[in-house]
Amino acid sequence: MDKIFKSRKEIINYLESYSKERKSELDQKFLKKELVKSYLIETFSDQEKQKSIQDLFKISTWNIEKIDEDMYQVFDTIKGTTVGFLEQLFRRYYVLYTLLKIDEIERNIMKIIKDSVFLDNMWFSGNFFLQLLRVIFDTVNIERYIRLKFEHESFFEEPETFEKSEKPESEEAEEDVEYRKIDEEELIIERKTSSFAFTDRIEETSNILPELQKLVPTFYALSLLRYPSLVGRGGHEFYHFGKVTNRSDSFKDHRNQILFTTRLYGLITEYIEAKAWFCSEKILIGSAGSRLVLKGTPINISFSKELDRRIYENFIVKTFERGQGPFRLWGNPIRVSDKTVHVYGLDLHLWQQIFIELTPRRITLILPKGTCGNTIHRLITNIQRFLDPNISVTIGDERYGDIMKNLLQEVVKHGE
Amino acid sequence: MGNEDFTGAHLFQLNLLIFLTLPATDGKFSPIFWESGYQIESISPTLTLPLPLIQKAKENNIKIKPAVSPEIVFSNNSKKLFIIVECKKTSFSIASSNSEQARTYLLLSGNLIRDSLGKSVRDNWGSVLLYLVGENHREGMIGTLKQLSAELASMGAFPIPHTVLEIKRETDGIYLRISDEENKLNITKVKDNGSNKIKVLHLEKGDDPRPLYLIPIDPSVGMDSYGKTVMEERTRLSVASNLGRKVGGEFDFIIDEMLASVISVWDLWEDSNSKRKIRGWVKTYITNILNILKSNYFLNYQYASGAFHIESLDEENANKIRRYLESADFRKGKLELPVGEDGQLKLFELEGDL
Repeated sequence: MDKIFKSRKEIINYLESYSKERKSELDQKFLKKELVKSYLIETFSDQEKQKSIQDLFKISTWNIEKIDEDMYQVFDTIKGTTVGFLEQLFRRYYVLYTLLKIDEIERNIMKIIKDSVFLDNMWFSGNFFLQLLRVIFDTVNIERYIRLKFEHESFFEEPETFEKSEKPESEEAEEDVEYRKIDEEELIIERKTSSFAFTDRIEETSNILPELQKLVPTFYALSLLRYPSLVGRGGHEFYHFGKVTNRSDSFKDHRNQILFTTRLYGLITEYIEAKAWFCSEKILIGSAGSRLVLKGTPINISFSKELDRRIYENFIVKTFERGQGPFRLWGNPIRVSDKTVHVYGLDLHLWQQIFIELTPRRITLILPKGTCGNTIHRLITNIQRFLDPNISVTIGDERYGDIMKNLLQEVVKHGE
Repeated sequence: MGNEDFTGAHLFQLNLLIFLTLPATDGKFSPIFWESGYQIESISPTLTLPLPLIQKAKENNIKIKPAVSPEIVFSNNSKKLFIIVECKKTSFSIASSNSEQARTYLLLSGNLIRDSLGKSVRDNWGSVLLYLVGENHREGMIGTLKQLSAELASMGAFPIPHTVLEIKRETDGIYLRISDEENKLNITKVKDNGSNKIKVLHLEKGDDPRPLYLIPIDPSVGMDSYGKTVMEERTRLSVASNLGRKVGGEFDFIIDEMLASVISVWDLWEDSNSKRKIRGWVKTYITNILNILKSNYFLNYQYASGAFHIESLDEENANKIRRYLESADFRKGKLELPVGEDGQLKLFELEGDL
């Protein structure tokens, strides 16, 4: 049995000194132990009472021991070893800090999330990362280095059945022998993929990125963003599926960056829900009592150019008719015209309703009240990754980027 | 589904009007009513005339209805203006039975609507009658409304202003033509552009003008095939969503809550007869699905007062139910229920009432 921690302070101090040791090893290019990895998890927000942490994770083989109101130590009941530390950041968001190897944790946590109707990853779309990147350009010392990775895969180019593998999504996995074996066993299908990564000074990056985006649209599909540490050396790598690797010498800074990003993510999710949920709602009209009004607005996702017809058709057939691919949506495509398809569908991940109008130029979404805003984050992330990196998103009369800018100001204004 | 012209179809007109009140800047709609400060006040409300007016019409041998239910009432809170909206595929003459309804609308002053809708008497409201008609019916409709207004004025009443929007499909979109030189509706785009023809829905070649229907059915005016398909899809979807999320635990499945997600304007819809029919269909539909789940996966339930109480279930059977709900057969509505020749569950052939 691993060490049992007694307090939050003990955990934070342990992870702080652990991070310092790893950073020294990284600098010497000889890493003896795993880096701290954090997995950001969103819980399904229903009108029902909040579920206990044990209920949320009962699908796992974990034993979750309480340290304080928001911090838990997680044990693997089969091996008797520590999986990591689970912290509830805000009402809907949890983070698992772990020191396990990627092949010991990532597949496991992805499976728990996939099999649960209450849990989802946090999904950082290219659009979300690009807004954060602007903040970094404006605020962090331009001499610091930043790492970016962009990925786009034309998943729907080929009509053949092809399930996306369950391998870990992060870069580190590319070095992992076990997963390489799995890759070799997979059916190999050729299709257009592009992946670019670079590390450069912030000043250079801010100058070159707009130029790169003009040339190659994949440079809008940011899938990894390394924030420079604000207190020391190194940085924190945020992956599109809600994983954060600590490559800095401070765990406290790592946690702080996670808190900031989660707070912003939570604000934008709640904003989308408040604005987009379709329902009749009672509003107060001064002393004159109250009245019902129709609330809600469609969400529009416009492609940068009309999708190739083959890709569009494969997307509909694979996603809805065969239930395959990364989107995990369910529904009967109703072909209302040659190009227009309506789907009154379900997000199978959280069993939530979503109404979708598809054309090769745009997707219009209607969210019935109760459908989690995270469904939209996941959809945007996957559209940028697999359909079109350079999309424009509006929630009613507001652009997604403008909403983020305003909410960022709000976070800054309140000093959080 | 073909490339038919739906511009005269009742549900298309109704849903189009709703979308024109929703904020949007980058979709296929140009929401002229939202831009001009209007929102939906009520759908199918019952509006009544005061007794003296009814009596006066009777004395003058003018046929009216004591109460009417227009399709929608829009309101503009800052201008304190209601728009009574009625959708018609074609115009009608004063000899038509529709004229009784139109005369009544013309007698509904803003304050009468205010009182019928239970709003505060503190503010004075104005009102405008708006008919949305199919292509080439604008002139006929204006003519009829003018005659009816003159008739009402002759009996000493004060008919409210009226206007007509003609809906027309062109290759690049859906246009509304406003027969309103004074712009009684205060449509911002008309003021800004000085044009009485406004593109409200942008279409590319091969696009279909029908939006995602927020009202898929309206039993009071019949149902089109697309609306029926939508209603069936959404009902099945809502059942899957509720059960998929909650099965295993004990919970209540409230029909009106489910219908509020199936029909977004459910709570604003005041046509109680239509709503009762829909509740009946949906109750029977859900009962049939729950009976399948009961016999195959031991899911127990009771029904009382508009809600199904679902009992808790072991994890193994709960997961089996989720797999069944994810199955292609359930998705396509191929259930062991009354089905049509195409294998689709015929929701509207089920009997039931609440």
